[in-house]
Amino acid sequence: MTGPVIGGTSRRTFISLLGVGAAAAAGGATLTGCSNGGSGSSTTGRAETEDKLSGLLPKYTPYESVKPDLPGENGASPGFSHYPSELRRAVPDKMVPSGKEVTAMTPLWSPIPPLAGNSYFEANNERIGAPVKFNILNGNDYGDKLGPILAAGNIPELLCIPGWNISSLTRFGQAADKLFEDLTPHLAGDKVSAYPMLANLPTRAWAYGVWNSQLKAVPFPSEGFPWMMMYRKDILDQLGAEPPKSADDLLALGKQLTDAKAGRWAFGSVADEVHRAFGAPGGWIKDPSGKLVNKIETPQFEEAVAFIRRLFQSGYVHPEVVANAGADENALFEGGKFLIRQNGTGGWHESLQRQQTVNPKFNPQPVMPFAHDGGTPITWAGDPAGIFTFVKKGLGEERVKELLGVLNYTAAPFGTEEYVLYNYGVEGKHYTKQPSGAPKLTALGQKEVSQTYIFLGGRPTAITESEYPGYVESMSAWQNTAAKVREKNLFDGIRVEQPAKMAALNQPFDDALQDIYRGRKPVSELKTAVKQWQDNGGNEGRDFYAKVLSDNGR
Amino acid sequence: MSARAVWEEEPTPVGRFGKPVVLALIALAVAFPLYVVVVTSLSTTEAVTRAGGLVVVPRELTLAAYVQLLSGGVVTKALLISVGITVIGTAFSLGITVLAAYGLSRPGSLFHRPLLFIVLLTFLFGPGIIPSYLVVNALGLIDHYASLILPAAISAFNLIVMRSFFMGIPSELIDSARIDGAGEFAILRRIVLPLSKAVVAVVGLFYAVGYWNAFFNALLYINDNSKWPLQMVLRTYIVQQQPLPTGAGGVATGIAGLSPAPGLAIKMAIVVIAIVPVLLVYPFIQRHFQKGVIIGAVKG
Repeated sequence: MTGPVIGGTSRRTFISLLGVGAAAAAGGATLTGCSNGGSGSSTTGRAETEDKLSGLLPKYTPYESVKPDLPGENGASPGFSHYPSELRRAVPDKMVPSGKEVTAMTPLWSPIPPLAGNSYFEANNERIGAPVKFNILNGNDYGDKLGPILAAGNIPELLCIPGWNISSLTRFGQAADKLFEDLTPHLAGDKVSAYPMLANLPTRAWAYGVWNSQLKAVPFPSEGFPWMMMYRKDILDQLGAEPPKSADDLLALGKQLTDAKAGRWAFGSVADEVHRAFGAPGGWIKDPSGKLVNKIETPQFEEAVAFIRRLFQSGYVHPEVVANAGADENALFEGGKFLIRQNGTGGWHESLQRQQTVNPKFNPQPVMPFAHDGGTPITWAGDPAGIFTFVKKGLGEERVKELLGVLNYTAAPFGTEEYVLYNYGVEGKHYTKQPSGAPKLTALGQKEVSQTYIFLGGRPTAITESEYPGYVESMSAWQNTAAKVREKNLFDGIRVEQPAKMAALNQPFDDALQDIYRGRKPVSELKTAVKQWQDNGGNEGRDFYAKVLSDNGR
Repeated sequence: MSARAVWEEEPTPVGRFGKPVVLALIALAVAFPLYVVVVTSLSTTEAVTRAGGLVVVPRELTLAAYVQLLSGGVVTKALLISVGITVIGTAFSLGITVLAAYGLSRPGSLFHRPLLFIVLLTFLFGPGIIPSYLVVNALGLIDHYASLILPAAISAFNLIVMRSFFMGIPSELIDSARIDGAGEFAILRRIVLPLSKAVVAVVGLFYAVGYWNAFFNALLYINDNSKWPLQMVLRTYIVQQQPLPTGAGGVATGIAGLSPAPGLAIKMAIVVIAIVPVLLVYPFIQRHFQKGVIIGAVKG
């Protein structure tokens, strides 16, 4: 917060560089938008601002391995409609001259691979120049372990910490001071040129890697679209229906698509997308008097809640979603049990991958952002980075250089040999090329390849899954459209750690909201819930956020 | 008419037929979810997709989920580790619980009241995660299998159950053994334990199930993934799928052949694998279990 103000660099240059981050990262809590980005929270709340940090941040030097044929505008990710036939070697030398084993702890959201005698790990470690010994943890349990190991100071050399886990860590700023190396002397300004792949990370993401006015972490950049609304184009086409362009369309589709006898309903979870369509902001906005107003306090939000309740009351929402707000919607959507849902952007190609052999007709498509009245919509803005990798303190300058070398390797972008190696392994051994040029894992690859290296550091965002016909084009079109109407975030470029007290309000408020949707409470209860939210910490939160803004001269 | 009590009357037809129906319904409510789990675990991905989730009517059965789970080597190794920890841990816990319970059940043993008080205290106050971790860390047990056994070796509840059972053994038996020249260990081994098979079986089952199901201690104390017990490994298969935080953020999340989240069939197969050992052991100690759980509930 008190970073040195080194003038000259215009904030505009930063803003133009990248979009914003996945607030939905925490996994679909309806209120994530309320937290104004998901970069975490702390007991008292904190903020670090990009404007004041320019002296700390690495100089951006783009590295273009392949030219994207579908450029991303306004912060949307670039799209690559085919896999490159030639790969560039981005990291020519081994980055760990000493060859000493590197210890690391990373989350994983898939089954754990065998670690001993794993030739995929060996191939990567060979290129890195030293074995990386991973301690892999189930991503959902990750936060449970962070607290104890930080308290004991018993941490590996490279520690990956997702932003949303920081919220449950008391006094994280202090821990960061004590346990993590200050990377400023290694990376600030031109110094980053020793690590060309790190220099290729967007500056806006780097700004989020600053704690206590020191560059502490290598960020994992994100594209920052919390939600997208998806529909089953294959089935809507069959039924002669069009994707919605307004709230009225949603109601009409609800009627047209729902056929309980045939076991088909129109909607899964769509609440956040409806809030957005009604024009509720993603987090805080200023009212005309300059006072901060939270999303849930706006009239748009109230309207949206009443509308969602109508969808539920009319019986357009799948009964399993009605019964359980946390129902696993993937199976229902992919099985055609309901046809319209909201999801994180990554869910799309994951579903294509699951269904491509099972149901070749399966064709989910994004609904272009729309406003409830058919006018100009807004889309929500999130954080430019959501996950961070820290380097253990006190290992000596040489070792820090080696560890940054490892992160340089894992930062190699799409179109490089290294990217392919850490994502898929060795060609012919772990994967083969499909006619589309897309890698397909072999039996050995399925057993051994795992997304472990990707949680060390990060790499620029990109849309690359061209093995699914039309996917890259469609996603790129959606992102470009969504990025164009992205709302101006008051806290743009400021990493705000939400006060813990305020973060704790999300769950009870969301519970009340779910009850209202399902008709267990009247719509008028919303006012009570908002009041409770305000009294129990929301108002304090407002003061905190107002101070962050005034501290930053906004 | 006769003055027979109500319960001596012939049951009414409604009662005669209603009872089995109600009982059958209750049994069904318990068995049906298990049945669905087993059927889903044996279903193909197509069948799961068509059902939009859990499969009730079996079609196209396959063992693919089990083959996939057990073929990688990771699950089988973890299975061995879990069996080892469960066997050794249960033996160790049972041993020290018997010793402690016997000591605390003898009136007049040294410090028996303050010790009992300390044990009861752990009922009320747990140590918390971070302090536990700091202790285990300071003892140098991180990454040792012992860290999965020692920190929770004695359960206060089991100790109290066993102690109260021991206290119910008539002191005449113990006194007569002592007259015959038996020492405390001989009394425990030859008099008390043979009379306490039921409680030992029950407490042993409690411990064994506890060790079998434990995952959180391994999450905290074991950094080396190759030392993970079964439940930790299985958990990585059933994590509720979250769209990767980054979306398509420069990460190949949808790699062909690499399943981002395992199918429902695999998740259900995991449920089956995790409960089978307990199901296998239970019938053998069921006899004791019925006797054991009412210990302390009724006198006599």
